[in-house]
Amino acid sequence: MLLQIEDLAVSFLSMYGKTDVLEDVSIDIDSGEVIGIVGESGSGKSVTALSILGLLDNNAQINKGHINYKGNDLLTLPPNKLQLLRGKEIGIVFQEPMSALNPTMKIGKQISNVIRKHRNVDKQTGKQLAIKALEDVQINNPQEVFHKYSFQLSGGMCQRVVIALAMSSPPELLIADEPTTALDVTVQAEILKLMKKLSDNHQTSIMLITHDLGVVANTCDRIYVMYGGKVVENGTTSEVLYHPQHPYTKGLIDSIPEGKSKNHPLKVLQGDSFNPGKRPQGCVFYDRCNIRSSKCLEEPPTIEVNAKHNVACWEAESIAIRE
Amino acid sequence: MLYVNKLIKTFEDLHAVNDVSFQIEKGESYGLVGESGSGKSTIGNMIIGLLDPTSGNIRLHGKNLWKGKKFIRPYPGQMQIVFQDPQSSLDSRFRIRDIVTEPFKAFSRKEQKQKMTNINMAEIMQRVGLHEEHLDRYPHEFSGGQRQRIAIARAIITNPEFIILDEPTSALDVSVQAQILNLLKYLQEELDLTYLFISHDMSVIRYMSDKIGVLYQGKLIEEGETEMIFKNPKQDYTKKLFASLPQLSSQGS
Amino acid sequence: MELDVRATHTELINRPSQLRLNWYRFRKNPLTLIGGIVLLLFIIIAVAAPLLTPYEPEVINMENRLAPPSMSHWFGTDEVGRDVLTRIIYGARLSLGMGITVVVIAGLIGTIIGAFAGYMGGKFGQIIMRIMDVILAFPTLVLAMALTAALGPSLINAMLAIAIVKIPAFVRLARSEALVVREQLFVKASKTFGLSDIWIIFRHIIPNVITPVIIQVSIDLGDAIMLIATLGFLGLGAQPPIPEWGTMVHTGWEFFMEQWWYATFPGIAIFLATVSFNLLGDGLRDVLDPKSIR
Repeated sequence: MLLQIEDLAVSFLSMYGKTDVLEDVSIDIDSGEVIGIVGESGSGKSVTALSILGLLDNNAQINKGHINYKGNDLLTLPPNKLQLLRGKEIGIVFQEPMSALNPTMKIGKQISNVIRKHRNVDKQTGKQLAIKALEDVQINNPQEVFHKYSFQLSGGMCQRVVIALAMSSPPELLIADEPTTALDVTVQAEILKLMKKLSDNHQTSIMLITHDLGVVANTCDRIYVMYGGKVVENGTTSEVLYHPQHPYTKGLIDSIPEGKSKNHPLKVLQGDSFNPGKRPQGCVFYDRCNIRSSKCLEEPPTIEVNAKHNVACWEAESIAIRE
Repeated sequence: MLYVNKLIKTFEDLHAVNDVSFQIEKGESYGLVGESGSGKSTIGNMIIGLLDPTSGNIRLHGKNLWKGKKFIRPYPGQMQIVFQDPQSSLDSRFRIRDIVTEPFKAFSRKEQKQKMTNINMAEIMQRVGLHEEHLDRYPHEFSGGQRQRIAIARAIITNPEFIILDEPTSALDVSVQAQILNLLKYLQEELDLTYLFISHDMSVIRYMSDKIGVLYQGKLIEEGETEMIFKNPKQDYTKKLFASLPQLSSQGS
Repeated sequence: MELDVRATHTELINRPSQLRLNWYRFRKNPLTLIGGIVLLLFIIIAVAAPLLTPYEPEVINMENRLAPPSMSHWFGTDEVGRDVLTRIIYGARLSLGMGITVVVIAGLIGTIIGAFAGYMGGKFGQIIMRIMDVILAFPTLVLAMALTAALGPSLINAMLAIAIVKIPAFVRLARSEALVVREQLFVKASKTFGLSDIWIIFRHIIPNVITPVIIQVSIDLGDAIMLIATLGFLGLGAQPPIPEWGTMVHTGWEFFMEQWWYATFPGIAIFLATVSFNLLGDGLRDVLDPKSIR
């Protein structure tokens, strides 16, 4: 196991009091594995990523849990050691590639700086490695891009550069938070393919965070579906997408218009996106659930559907028992 | 009903829209699909009167909408637009009542009064799935999906016959998007509306439109019945576009 | 199964009221509170002036001229025997009243001009901004002095001059905000309804640029009071016997060596009013524009 998040609970403090944003989140990644964390706004997927990186805002409070990375608990690691891990062993790719790059420094210099910091090589080797890194992310004219500034490149190109930066060490774990959301679909497909290929070549694990089920479908080995700061369902991609057990996962899949008949309204999840200020008692999905019962006013247990599939739902339990 | 003929828009030396022609029949839902920079929103803005075309013409029921740089507005409220971002499309200083009835302010005082007495606000709000009590609230009390419903209420209040939907669900969560798409389909049938649906999302456009036009770098490269194009795309770019669409449902469920 | 496509969650988001939020931010800054309290005192003093003192501000009493502070005249008397405290109290009416009037008028005019310049843009906006640049090129005090000197020294002319030198800052502020608001989708939506530019400017643009203008007004108030006093001190503003703080310091100055109280107390009044307005202005900016907090 490369990374193991155990029962992580995080709250944000503000003048209105304490708001729970993560509750008992457990996620693990093997080395070389690509996992997807899927959720809509308010699901806590980005907070999970920021917790791993130690980049939570000052008003965040970790209530309990551990994040074990190669025998260390990242939550108790001193900041300077965490800083060392970030970038070198744990790479990050964010949604907005433009804001991740320094607009006043040439692309090549940014990459070779990072490479030289991590690998202790001289200037000339740094440059060669930087060009190699640009080649690796399938930029056709690395020599040219090396001498450009970020604002001279398209969004897709910038994201490739960011990935090149993140992969330059290469890291053990790459955390990609909505890496393709700001990009066009044709570019999105290329970037996803690229990330998967890099993962295969370098044995890098990837944690792909997205709101888009379509993105994880073709990329990830396993999926965690999050809602309201909880993991409501997890399992292998095919299990979760094609045999979903949780009413939220089912509803989410039904909401996607792709492949649905035009003559019928889409089956919708009632209600609005999760509002952290109004966390229901018991099951987080209670307000919007169409199969809820009185049992759901209590916290549902996590039930093993099979060896590769877990779901947190009372109703799923009764189904399992019936079978 | 709506004719767009050889429409061109240039910004400095960039051809944002390059010789685009298409037509929309009454009651139809026409989808314009394209990626960023394809000119799809620019076309919408020219039809609704926010941007003047460099050349070409746009006709509604045979009447030219643009005479040079001047927009000849059809009857106020005949055409409406719903924008992408419901955060910025509602003025946070207005009450919902004032937001929804704002289109009436373009009428003469007498007509305004008449319209305000005739209109059944409760019914309009119900149509979009909201309540009459919401009328005295302010936008910040509503979620993204609810705000988009308010924007839709504002669009249908004038009894328009034609609505431009400019990425109306792109800023919303998928589960909320589905609600809005259903609502738009319901309204189209109920109110006999004609839609121009602009989107970058292939699955949304396929679900919503009868006919589609594929835009690439300002040019309309392919056009036709939605299912025909999805089943049998002719242009390489269209094929590439469809191929990039992540497949979710292909393996069953 | 028939689905009700309109079905939705009709619960509203439960946000705390803006007022509570503002009060919370306000409380967190003790200096603002002090500024606010001092100002409140000044305002009470200005409003209740006749009740607070048995003397008249302009009645001469030559027998009691230049008397030092005492129980009957806390701040002493001036060269014609008027009670200095009484004159300061009445002066508060004048300084506060004038300061507020001038800045509010300048803010109002500046906002309207700025909103037009920002929304319309183009050549119209350019011409307006160049005119404002010309005014801004001069130091405020120098320009205000020149204007009052040209118009003739009087209270009204001093107010006029200060209003004119204050307008460009408001125009700039309102314009830069209007440039942002004009790109908002609700403005575009209004255009598609066929609403006039005037309607859009007054109903959408101005209400949405007013918050920073209010902050600027509160910050500028202290400065305006200072300017009024300065012009008075230089003999260009209020003319004797009007009880204006700057004018009082001006006449009191001659007697400073022997009768220190005459110039000192009005000076302290100017200082307190200016500082408390500045504190309140800064605090108000933090409350209404939380982005500026660092």
